[in-house]
Amino acid sequence: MDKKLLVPFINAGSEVIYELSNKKPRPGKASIIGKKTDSLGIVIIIGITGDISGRIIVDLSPNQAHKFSEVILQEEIEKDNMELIESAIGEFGNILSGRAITKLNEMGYHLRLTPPTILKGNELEIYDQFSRMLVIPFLTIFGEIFLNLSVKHSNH
Amino acid sequence: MFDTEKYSKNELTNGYKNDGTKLKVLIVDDSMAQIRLLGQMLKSVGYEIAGEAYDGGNALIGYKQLSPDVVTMDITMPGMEGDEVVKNIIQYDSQARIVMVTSLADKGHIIDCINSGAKGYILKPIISSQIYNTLITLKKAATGD
Repeated sequence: MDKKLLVPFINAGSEVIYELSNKKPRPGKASIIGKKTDSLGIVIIIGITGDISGRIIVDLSPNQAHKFSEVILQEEIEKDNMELIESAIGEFGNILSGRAITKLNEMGYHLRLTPPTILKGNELEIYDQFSRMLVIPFLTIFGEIFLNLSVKHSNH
Repeated sequence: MFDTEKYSKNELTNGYKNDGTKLKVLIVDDSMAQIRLLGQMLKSVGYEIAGEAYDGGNALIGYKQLSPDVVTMDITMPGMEGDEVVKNIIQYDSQARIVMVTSLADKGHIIDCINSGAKGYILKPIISSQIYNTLITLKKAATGD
């Protein structure tokens, strides 16, 4: 994956998590993994289209999703209110991806996002059919969450 | 919830008209969380939530039925996207006051919305440090100032 595509995602992740949680997250070292990895339990999938195409996947645990939802919505939420929690973390994924795409567009790309899809499960695996994924860990006040990227330049 | 008491007392940021009645807002967003967050914040400063719509089609129906003073409109929605909904609403009512809600994923798209008749935009995520600007933008749009 082109390195210049990576930095906007790291910066966007750091900024958005900081704005929401009021505590700067610590981005860990990005690493390339295989086509498949185990999920923490909840994934937010957002598609990218345009000059580059692919997916941004935010991977977090149900407990982290619950806590993130509370800071996003500024209120206490019942742990079993999954509809609201999923909506809140979908928005989190949307905002994070939107920020990254903004930075890339400012670099001259023309990119759009698709609305988020959320999947959850105890033994969920993240799998990419076409390419290896790059994983960026962020150490947050709610523990470590992961940003999985699988993007490539589009053939126009 | 955000501490909004000071904003409800400031005429630049509260949700009241000059005659003291509440400004009516229609919130359009495909995210239940975003509707809830924005709705609670606007109610706390005086706005009346006239309605909520989760997609563009219902936004237009809601607008015709509710005649809100202002509409907050997400840009990225499934089906009809925000800019298209703006065009449709403006076609129905050229005086409609619409404010886009965006994470700034596409500046060009925001410009399209403004060119189509939207009065401004507010940024996501809505966090404490941005509430003042958010409310000022909305109040200006709602009252035509």
